[in-house]
Amino acid sequence: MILNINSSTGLVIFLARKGFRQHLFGSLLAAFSIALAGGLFLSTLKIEEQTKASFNNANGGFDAVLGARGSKLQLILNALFHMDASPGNLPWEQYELIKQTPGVKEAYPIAVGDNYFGYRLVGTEPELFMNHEWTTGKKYQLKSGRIFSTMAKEALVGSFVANKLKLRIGDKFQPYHGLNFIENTQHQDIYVVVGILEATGTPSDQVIWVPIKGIQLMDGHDQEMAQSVSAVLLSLNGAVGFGLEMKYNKQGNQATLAWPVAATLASFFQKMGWFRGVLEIISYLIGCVGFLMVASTMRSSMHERKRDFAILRSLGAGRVIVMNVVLAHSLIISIIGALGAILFMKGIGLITQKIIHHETGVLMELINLEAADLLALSSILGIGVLGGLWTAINAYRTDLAQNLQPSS
Amino acid sequence: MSAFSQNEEDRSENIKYPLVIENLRKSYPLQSGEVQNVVEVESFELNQGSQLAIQGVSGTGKSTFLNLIAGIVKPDFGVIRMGEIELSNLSEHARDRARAQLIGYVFQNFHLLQGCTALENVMVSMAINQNATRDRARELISHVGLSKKENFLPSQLSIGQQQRVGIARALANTPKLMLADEPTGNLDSENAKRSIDLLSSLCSSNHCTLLVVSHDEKIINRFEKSMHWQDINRAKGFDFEY
Repeated sequence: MILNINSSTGLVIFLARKGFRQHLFGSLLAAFSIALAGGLFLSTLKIEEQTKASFNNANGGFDAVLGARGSKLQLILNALFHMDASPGNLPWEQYELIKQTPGVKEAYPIAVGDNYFGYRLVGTEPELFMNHEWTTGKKYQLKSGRIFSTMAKEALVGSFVANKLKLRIGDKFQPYHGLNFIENTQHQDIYVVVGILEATGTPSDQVIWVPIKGIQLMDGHDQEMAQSVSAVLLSLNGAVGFGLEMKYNKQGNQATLAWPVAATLASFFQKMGWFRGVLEIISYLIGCVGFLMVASTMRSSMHERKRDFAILRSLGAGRVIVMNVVLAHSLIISIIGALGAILFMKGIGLITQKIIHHETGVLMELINLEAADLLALSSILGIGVLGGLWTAINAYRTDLAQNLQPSS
Repeated sequence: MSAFSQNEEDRSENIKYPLVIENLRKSYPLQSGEVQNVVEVESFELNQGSQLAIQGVSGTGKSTFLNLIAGIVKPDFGVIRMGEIELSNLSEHARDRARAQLIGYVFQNFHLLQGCTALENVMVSMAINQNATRDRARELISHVGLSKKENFLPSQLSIGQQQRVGIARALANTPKLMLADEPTGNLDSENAKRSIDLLSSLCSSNHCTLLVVSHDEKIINRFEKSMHWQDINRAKGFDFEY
């Protein structure tokens, strides 16, 4: 960068850069502390928002889930996010009944209870992949092959599972009983992979989809299961949800309607609010360390810089210039710290994205800076400059004559 | 004259700046509570362009005297005048500006900025006076024979070379008055002679008044005019040992 050192600002920046280089290790260490604190703080703020948004967007395009009597959250986690255990089964008639209910746009039964190397087999109707929009305007797309037939032992594999288990069209496999992989629980039934889905960034990528009749009638399953479903995924028209909630949750005692999905998820994130609080406290503490690091770096550099400042003063530089050199040095540390904070935030975001995707199948969008984050970034810069303020005031007060050490 | 103004800067090229000192006193309080007179100069004059060497032993207030003239230290009372500018009556800010524009200072310990190269040391001095140009700085570095080492840090230069950078820096703003405080104190005799001759010739060619203080008789003898410090300073607080 070409500086006009004839201007006060140019001279101050020039001298501050020199100071930064002279005290490189301490300055970089201080910048690193600020970057770490800032990165943790920014990512704490943003990851929670992004996770909420991603989970809300990953509901598979369904408004509600009907399942056995129990927890709404468990129902949603099990039916839409393919996590947690199923709270129980519903009679097939319940599925038929709600499918016929006015205002119910779509109803798809699902049955769970088996896995293949830990990835869930979910039984459903093939229409789910023909008609349903998993997000506005988007239906499921086949990467290769076709959708399974209703009565055949065929499988349509989510992209994530296909990639992880290296499943291809024509591959045969024998599922394992239960939702968790236990080696000696393999079924006799042999399924053939007939299709692989395009990635959706939703938990359905982590599922091996099979015909519902296949799961119901699988070798080793009891007769009751053949006549029941784990849950029914629902798309509703207008305000029909209010009526259904009244019918199933308030007046009935046979089933639970988890509606609306977003509200149930919101209550879940609210319960997890303490975790954000812990992260915030940690980031504030690291922020304090960053502040102290800057203050310490500037203070320790002050001892030898007193002489430099006295020289500048002897050359005719005013007190304000000397003070501003210290503040500008702090600002350079802070700017590097703030840029580092953005990198840390991106890095933490990327790692979080990988973990959440691996664990839930929900593909969180990468976190990016927005206009609202400028306040946080300004605070990071402010903390750094504040760290140098005390030293800057000392530099302002430095006695010129004392530090020039008269020799005679 | 109470302030060092822009008009004076504009006129500084054409006017003369004889140094006149009257009834100057500087004292420091001692731990015992008494006051130690360090500098007590009744009258001192130096014409524009002249060169004077002051000889005196260490610790007798010579540096304080130069610091008073440079405006680094404020006198208890008395007058220090350069031409029409009464330096002793200026505010600190105005003294800073006057020092940047009118006075060059060569120190015994060179006092170079360790993080800056030889060229940058000269340029910073010029920049404080808002007239830094790389060409002019290079010219000065060339005058002191360090063209090939302009990008060296002080730590990469010999003691003699560092002193020459100090001289180039002191001349950076074409000062009217050059103060040199034991400028050869850290040099061997050969380098000392070279440096003092360089300083003297550069001041002559720039019509700059030169005031050198030193305890070294060999250095003092290289100047046409010299004085003993005890003949200038009447402060009685010191126990002089010659």
